[in-house]
Amino acid sequence: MEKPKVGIFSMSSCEGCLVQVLNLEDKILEMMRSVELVDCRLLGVKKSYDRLDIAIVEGAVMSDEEERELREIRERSKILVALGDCACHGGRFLFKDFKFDSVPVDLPRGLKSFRADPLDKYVKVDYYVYGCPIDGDDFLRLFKELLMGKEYRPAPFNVCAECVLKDNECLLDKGIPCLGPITRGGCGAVCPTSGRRCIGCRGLAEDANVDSLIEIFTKRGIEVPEYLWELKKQVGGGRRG
Amino acid sequence: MAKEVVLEKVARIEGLLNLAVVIREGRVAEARAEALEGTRLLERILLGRDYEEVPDLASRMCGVCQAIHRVTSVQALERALGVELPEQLELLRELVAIGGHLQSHILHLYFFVLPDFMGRSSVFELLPSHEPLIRRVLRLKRIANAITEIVGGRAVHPVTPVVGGFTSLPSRLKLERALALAKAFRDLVEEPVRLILSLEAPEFERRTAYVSLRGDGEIPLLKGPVAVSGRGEFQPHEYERHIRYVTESYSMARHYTLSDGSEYMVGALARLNNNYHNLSDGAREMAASFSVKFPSYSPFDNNRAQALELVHFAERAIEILDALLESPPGRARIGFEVHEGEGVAVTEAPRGLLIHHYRLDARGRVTLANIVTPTAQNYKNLEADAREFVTVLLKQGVEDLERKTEMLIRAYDPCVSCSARFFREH
Ligand code: SF4
Ligand code: SF4
Ligand code: SF4
Repeated sequence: MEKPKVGIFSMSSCEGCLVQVLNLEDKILEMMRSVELVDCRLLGVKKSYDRLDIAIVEGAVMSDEEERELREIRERSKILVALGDCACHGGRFLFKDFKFDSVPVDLPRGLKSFRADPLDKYVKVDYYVYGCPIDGDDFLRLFKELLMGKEYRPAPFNVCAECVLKDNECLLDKGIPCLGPITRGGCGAVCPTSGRRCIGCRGLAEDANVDSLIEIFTKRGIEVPEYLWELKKQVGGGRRG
Repeated sequence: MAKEVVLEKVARIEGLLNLAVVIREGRVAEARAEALEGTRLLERILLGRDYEEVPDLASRMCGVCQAIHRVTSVQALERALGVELPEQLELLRELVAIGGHLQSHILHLYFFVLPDFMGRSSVFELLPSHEPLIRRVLRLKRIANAITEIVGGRAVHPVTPVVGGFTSLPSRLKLERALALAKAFRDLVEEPVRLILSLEAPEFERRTAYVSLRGDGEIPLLKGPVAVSGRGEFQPHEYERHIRYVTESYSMARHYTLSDGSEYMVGALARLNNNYHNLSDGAREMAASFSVKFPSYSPFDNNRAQALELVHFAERAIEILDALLESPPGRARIGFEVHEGEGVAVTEAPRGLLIHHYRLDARGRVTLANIVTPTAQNYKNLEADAREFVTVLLKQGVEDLERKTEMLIRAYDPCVSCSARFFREH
């Protein structure tokens, strides 16, 4: 049987997610034995090919050139995977309360305006690997499941679900504005486990309840940050629509 | 007739970069380093944010050197708030930085640079002939990651360093483990480093100004005055008087020059050119056995300098961990008050001098943010090198001009994503 052809691409990003993939080290070597990597600029792989079985795309779309490239990748690929928050949400967790229109328009290379768009604004995305950066093992799981022809599902629970399993003291009790309750889990709650509040890098949990988080913050005397109100406006208070 | 050669989206570097070379009558008239990466406007995003949020956001500048971005932002904020850390916490910070340097140098030297010298285009093609080496390098990388993780909480985008110290400290057991790891790294790295030192680079020299932190008996990563070779020193907070930025319509990044408009180089080569006498014993011996000398004026020696740093910083990590086990840090985080203030921190990222500069209002909200990345500072020097190097290659009539030029670009270990943050203002 022919090995599935894989391409790895970057739009505008910090490439931290690809570094996470490289950090899988030996595991990535093993993985590469069962596929044929035909395109990856970062690693210097460029073979000729027509069709891709799996395209892995990191980064947000920030220019017409990138938009064109992305559409081209989509056309050639059976499966397209968005890798990391930049690709999944346009790096939104960073831009949470950032007003794009306020950017001066004097941009180089003929750019007219500033944008940072998720891939699915332009093309169909088959699978999302969330996080900024992604979790390596999460990525491995996706890859294995794709190779076995299964459907990958990102973690359905929130960060708190994993956090309580680790017996962490809840940061909310210490008055620290942790976003764990509304954030998609799957990272093993790394931040709260190191005593650091979750900043929501994996995006909203499926059953995120912004209202109740605002209530929790208020009850514990934590100042409700502007972006939570903004978020409430965008996605509604209760379940995400 | 002028001819333009464009190396498009150079492979095996971090981020998207074109190098355009305009050739007129057998000479290079112009070279342009065109950063293509979409500008991520981080400084804009930081405005109005609470100082506590800054490190989480600033570390997203770059996936390869996120550790140092985090530490540098924290240090700049500490300057602004007048926070001084006890020595042990500073040592832990240095350890986070070292972990980042080891990770980054390994990635660059063996994944990006080595294939060039072996006539291959990727590390995968090296596998059949060099599997033991590649496995060893992967192990080194894993060890470097593990050290960062022990102190930083996560290997990529570490989470523990915060204003005032750390959110949590590694236990004694973990520090012992880190020490064992650092020792293992030091042993394992010997052979791969010798390999890099033995590689024959294209012959090319061009003297420029080398800018790095300068230390007294050490190669400093997080403190010290900034040395400009041949011209003296300046203090971190004076940086705006000594370097300035130029915007080029062809590039998404800012480009920097010294105040007189001349180009300069930052990175491992600059560090060693300015601090050679402070190299650890082990690293110095290795340099001597391969007759590698500093100061060196070949940009290709940036690879060798990185290789020597792998040894040097592994030895420094062992020193630090010994010291920390001897007298462990007490508190993870010291108290401070939030007030108005302004602070600059200058550090050494794997790719060279890194500057973070913030101003805070009385509530601790950011009112000014400026970040100067190493790669942005190197573009002008890379352009100047490319002009001369390609002219020499043209004279020699070499066939693989493009490949050789790419090797020059790679020697700089450019990191385009963090350099791309162009917008007007300032
Ligand atoms: S999601 Fe985060 S780590 Fe990944 S590329 Fe984007 S900024 Fe970097
Ligand atoms: S610390 Fe954060 S993630 Fe953990 S349980 Fe509390 S709110 Fe949830
Ligand atoms: S704890 Fe929150 S911020 Fe940290 S990695 Fe998980 S989702 Fe991201």
